[in-house]
Amino acid sequence: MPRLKHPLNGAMYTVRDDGHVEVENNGLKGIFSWDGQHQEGSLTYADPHMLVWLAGPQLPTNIESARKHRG
Amino acid sequence: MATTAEDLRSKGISYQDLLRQDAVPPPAVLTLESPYNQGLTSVPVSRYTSREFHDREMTHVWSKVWQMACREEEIPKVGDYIVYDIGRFSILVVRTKEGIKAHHNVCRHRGRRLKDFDGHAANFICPFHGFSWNLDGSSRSITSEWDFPHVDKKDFALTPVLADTWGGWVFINMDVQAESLADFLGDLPDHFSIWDPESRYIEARVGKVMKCNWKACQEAFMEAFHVITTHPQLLAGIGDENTQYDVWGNMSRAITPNGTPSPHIKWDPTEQDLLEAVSMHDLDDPDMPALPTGIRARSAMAAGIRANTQSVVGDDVVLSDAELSDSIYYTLFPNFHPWGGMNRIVYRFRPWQDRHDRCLMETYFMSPFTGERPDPAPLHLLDEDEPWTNAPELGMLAKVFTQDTFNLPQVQTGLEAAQYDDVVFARYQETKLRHFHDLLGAWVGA
Repeated sequence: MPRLKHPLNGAMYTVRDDGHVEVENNGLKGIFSWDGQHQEGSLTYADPHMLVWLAGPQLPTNIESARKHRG
Repeated sequence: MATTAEDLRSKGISYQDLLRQDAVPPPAVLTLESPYNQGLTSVPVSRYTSREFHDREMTHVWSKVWQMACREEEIPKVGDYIVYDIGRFSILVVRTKEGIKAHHNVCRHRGRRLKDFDGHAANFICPFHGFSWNLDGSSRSITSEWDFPHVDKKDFALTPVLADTWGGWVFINMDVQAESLADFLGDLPDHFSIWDPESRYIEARVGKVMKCNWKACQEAFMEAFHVITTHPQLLAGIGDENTQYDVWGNMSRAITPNGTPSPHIKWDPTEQDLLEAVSMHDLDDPDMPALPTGIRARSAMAAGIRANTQSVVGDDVVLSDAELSDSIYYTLFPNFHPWGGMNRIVYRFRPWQDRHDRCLMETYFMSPFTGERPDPAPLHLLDEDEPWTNAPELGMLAKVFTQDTFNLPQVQTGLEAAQYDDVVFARYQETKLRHFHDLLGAWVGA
């Protein structure tokens, strides 16, 4: 599943099978929906734009894997 | 304490210093600097929220300013026309034997719009009573002409609109007394002369109705200041705060370097980290090939794009690292945003219908080609609730736009509810916004 480390604070963002995102930061964990709503866990804040990027509306898989369209 | 030039910039490496390290040096146009140290630093919230201000824009800006209407390639044959709508106005832009002309899209009899959609015609016939006009706007026929002895056909032409072209783009101006397009463009053609915008074609064109004022929308694409918060995934490989901002006449420019880390991050990425960041590489993706020792990410990025680009534009064209790697985004007042270098992006923003709280954001991918000019892509229009990712022809840019779109309706909602008077701009990183609003204020008399 897609996984990214936040470049500013080092938090790890991992998309789960159910479409939510698990975020780990400084030993705390939380689960969030793609639009930023906290679902469960002791970590209650996540970067909403990391959530949108990883778990918001996505491109078709073949386009995502090509990844070559840049501005 | 006196303010020095250094105080006006981020503490990170300057764009010009970065250019001096590039393997293939930049063209002269990218070494120009023209900072904008004067002008306003705040504007009334009402510029975004007021119907009255929207009406002033219609009267004092849109009805008098040069504005991009279409590409020449969209009306290749005599009789081809497009309907360009801007607020309450509608303009027919048509190719005639004498060149491209423009007219108000309004029947001179009882006012019906003559054309509802783009198309091809030998003449313009009103669907109401059948009055008709030639492509050049002159009156062709008056139904029951015997009943109009008081109308002189030679004075019954469609209301004229100025039309002119630059770089393959067609511009119109409803003010027939306006300055020439060349005067209005100023230095823009010189800046773009090495990139030959005429020799590009519309590979993709996507529009989306956005739930915000057109200025709120376009301003999100005129600065790199928002990258730290809105596009955090890019930070390891983008010099957001190192962006250079310049102003000339009716034009402004930002250049955001890629393949260099954001000054905001507190760790030291390797050149490999930079390359992976600009490639939008996920941790679970297969490993990228390792950069050879001594090769910078910017140069590697540029080399990868150079090989493909050179095969289209020709081997005799020198393509610098910067032209292939960096985001070079110009703005021509009021709403035309062509990107420079080998970037393909052109943006246009305008009010949606006649609303101050909705706009149409359009993205063109203008690509070079070999051989015969390919047919231009038609507009792929997304409604206000459709995600950008429904337009996969935009590639990863659709995902980037999704992050911007996560903000913009909330910006409009917030501004509508704001209990303060002014929106405040950063002195340097929001240079383009300040310049835009200085011009806008002068046009509307604010």
